[in-house]
Amino acid sequence: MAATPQAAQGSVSLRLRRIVWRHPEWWVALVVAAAWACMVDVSLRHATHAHAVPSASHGIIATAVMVAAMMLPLVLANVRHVALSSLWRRRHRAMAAFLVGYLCCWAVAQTVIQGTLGFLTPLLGWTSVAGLATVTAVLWGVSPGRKRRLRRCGLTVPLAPRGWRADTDCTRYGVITGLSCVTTCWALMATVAAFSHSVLVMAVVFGVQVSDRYQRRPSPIMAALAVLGVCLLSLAAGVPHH
Amino acid sequence: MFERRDVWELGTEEDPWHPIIEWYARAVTAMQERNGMDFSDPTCWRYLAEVHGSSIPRGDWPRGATWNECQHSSWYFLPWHRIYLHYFERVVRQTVSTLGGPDDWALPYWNYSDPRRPSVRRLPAAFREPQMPSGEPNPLFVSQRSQSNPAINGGEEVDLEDVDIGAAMAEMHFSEPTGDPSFAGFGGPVTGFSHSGGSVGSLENIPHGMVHVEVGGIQPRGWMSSFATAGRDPIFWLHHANIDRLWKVWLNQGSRVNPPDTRWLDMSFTIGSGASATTLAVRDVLDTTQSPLNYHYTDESPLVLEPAIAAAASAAGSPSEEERMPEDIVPEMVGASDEGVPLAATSTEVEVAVEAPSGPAFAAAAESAQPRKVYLKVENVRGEELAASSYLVHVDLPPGANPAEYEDRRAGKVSMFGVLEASQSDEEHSGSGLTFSFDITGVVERLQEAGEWDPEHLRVTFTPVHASEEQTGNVSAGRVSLFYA
Repeated sequence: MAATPQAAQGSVSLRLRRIVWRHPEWWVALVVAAAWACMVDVSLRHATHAHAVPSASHGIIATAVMVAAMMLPLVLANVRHVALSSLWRRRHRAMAAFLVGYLCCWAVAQTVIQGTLGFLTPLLGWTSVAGLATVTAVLWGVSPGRKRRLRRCGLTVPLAPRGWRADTDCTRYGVITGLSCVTTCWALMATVAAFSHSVLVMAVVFGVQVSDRYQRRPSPIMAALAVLGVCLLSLAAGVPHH
Repeated sequence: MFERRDVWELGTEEDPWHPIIEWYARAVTAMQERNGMDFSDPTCWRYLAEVHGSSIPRGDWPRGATWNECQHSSWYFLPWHRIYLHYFERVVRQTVSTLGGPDDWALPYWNYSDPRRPSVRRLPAAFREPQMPSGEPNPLFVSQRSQSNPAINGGEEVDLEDVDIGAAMAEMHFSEPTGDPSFAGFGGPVTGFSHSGGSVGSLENIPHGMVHVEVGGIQPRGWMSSFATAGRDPIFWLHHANIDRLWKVWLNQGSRVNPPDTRWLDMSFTIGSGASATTLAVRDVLDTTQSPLNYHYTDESPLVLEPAIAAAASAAGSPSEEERMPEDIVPEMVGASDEGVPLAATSTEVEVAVEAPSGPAFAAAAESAQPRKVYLKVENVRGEELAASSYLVHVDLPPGANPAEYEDRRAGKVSMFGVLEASQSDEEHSGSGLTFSFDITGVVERLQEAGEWDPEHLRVTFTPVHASEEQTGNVSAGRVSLFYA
């Protein structure tokens, strides 16, 4: 007997409800997708309007979008953990509190990175600064202490179930996770910023970060070679400062 | 086909030296002689022990070594150890053959869980004798074991409760189909490569973890009590052969299946290095009677569960294929403690305020009038020093009550094996500690029937096992939470 349209609709609705129940972090994943779409769109526009000079507000927005695109995917498991460890009525609020703490860390880190780049670029020139950032990222990537910091990104902590303590615990967990991520990925993110958020550099660095986080035994040498390769290619091509 | 036999069927208290055990001892000696300075021979004793866990700095490892790889708190716990044992057994068999022993030598198992034979809870006699019959030092004897309570080398028995496989065998799912990795099931939660930390599967908790700490002891910590040293004790391998056997026993009970997930089936592990390296995927080792494993256990018969446990399993479990659908259960947290609770040398308790469900459990309640399952989670168990080897967990004990008189309110038992390692923040661990989940549906039903279930309030009591007042420790559970599903 064929299913009626109403039954099929009901089945889809039920399936969708289960996905949303099981993955309360769905809207964070949507934010990530939107951020990547935005970065690609800006990159394409930049390619056709090569001499457009970005304003300061554009720079801040671009940085925020870059952090959303590149760092939020790495903490989706943490965001989900926060939601599943919270009372049902509080799960979205808990995720938001976590993200506030997490993104605050990156806001501070990006301010320092942008400030440093802004200071060095007029002194040394873009090529030297980009090269310096690349070398720093490569050396930091193979340094022994980085792996321990990477493991800390998966840390879970007890969360109070209700009231202001629940909010502060979630925010504090976001800060703890953010600090681990910043101290692990600052050099890579500085490199992306030095290359003016080039989508090509972003994509390779993002691949390295995902591999670091989820691969069983990620190779620091391969990661370093990948970063070095894409940065040298970009430098040779003068991308994006051609 | 090789046969792995019950070590207590091979040797007795009076006559422990069956040829299979004696050849094992001689092979252990030969493998220990290969250790050298850096344990670089993939067939030497220490190389094989370091594969499980290693405190040797990575920079000092032999080239290509696959050390510090044991899988715990993971659905890879059982298959990884099966591959590990297979490699070890081949090395021992080859060594035995080279020494002039039988070509079909197979690893015995230590079945400590047979309630009809209390004496099998003693460490097998050949592992307690300092000397071989020939007068040579016995390599199966190690002094780094529990000194008291129980005095393992003195022949004291491991507690019956610590080797009770009833709870593990009653599990209906290899990994809990909740989609939440903090719920474990029989074999461990769905994870990636996981050295330790996270949620512990039922079998990994008891008897696996309990036997580790009962044999090793906690103060001082003997070899079996630590990931990094467990493989040095020759009994380790017989213990894990039994855990491997219990996986088969669990499957043979019926209505239980291995995960069909390709992430599990296709995961591969490499043991050894160089020419001796063995790489096998999980799907390669599911049938032990086929190549490359080619072994079976003397006793793989399904456990006859106590009637109460069988009834609980039947009620809590889901025998039909439809009910085993992974999407079926979405747990909803309905309460958690505001504070952590110390796991000390004396009993401790924590209060949990419970709210009415408003999500999936509310929807489920609309269909069946009450939640289908109730879970208790003991989260983020962390610390640097143990005060006891394990803790009994009871729900809603009357104030001052003796826990032993309230078996019907027992949620489960928490083994301290792996807690210290999982609490460290290093290259292998995030420092989150261990999490334990217990299906307390039956406990809640009994409390409801007795009219003593308070849907808004829960009290959870932790009672230390094998602790003395002098022992200090700083382990604590970060939170205790209640879930409806």
